[in-house]
Amino acid sequence: MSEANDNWKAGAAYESYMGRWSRPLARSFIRWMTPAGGAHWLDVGCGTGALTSAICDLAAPASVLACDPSEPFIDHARKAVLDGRVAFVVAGVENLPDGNGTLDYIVSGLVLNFVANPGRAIARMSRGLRRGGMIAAYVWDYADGIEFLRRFWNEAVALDSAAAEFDEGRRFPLCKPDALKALFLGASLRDVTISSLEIPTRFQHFLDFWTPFLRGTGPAPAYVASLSQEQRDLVCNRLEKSLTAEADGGISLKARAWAVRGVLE
Amino acid sequence: MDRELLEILACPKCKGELRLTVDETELRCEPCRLSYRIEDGIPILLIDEASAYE
Repeated sequence: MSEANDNWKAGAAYESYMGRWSRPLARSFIRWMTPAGGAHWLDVGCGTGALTSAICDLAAPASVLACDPSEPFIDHARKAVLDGRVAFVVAGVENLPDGNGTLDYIVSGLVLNFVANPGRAIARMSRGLRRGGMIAAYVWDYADGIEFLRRFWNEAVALDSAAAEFDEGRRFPLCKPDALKALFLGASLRDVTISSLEIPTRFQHFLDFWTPFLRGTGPAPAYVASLSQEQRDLVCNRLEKSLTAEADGGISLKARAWAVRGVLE
Repeated sequence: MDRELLEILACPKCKGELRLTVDETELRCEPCRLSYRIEDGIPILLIDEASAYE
């Protein structure tokens, strides 16, 4: 298989697992920001392009620079976001472009909890911002807010207590309102505001719920991949029994994220 | 490659200015003597993937 195909598969696997929910979430986030039009944006950790796309659709930007350290994700994003206002760069949050203090909005969607040093990342991001510009970010509420993940971990831990170590709810203490607020206040940003963003996550049928756990990228699919076929079937069967399907077989759950924004003095 | 974009970008190692090569296939940081390739118009600003040049 060609490298391009492998790259596309990596991006596509993320899409089916978390990416499809990150698009409505990104739109909800931009609406919450109520940004001015004609602005210059930097999207840090753009992934497969969900937030970049929402900026283009809803914020009437003058330009968007979208960065991610993963070449497969950038490859996916540039094919998904065909907009002349967007430029893509392969770069990590630790070695962001400076922006020379000219950018109006620097945003980051579903990234900060994966960064080794979020405080340094925010300080780094703020260097690119003009005075009065805004930094805003959002992270999934892994502890309580993503029902489909919570249901998965509840069943996985019931079968194997060691699974709890992989649970994002434990691994990402930053994904809480107080921690996010402290992070932004620590970067000397003013008018720091927190909000919850909630989106519906509807699965067409049980396999639509389960299959992404078999091929996605992330802690839960990595845990599933570490199981034997027999163990995997046990988790799958328990989940199928515990989820309440609607008349048409659909499964309706909700997912919540925490959003934070602050303005550079 | 977009000139405005070039003004925003910086060397990930020293945060200094990057220069576009004449054939527009690389961005170079002269103080670090590092070259960052551009693939399909996308700069790869990763230190691990940079190459040294003389």
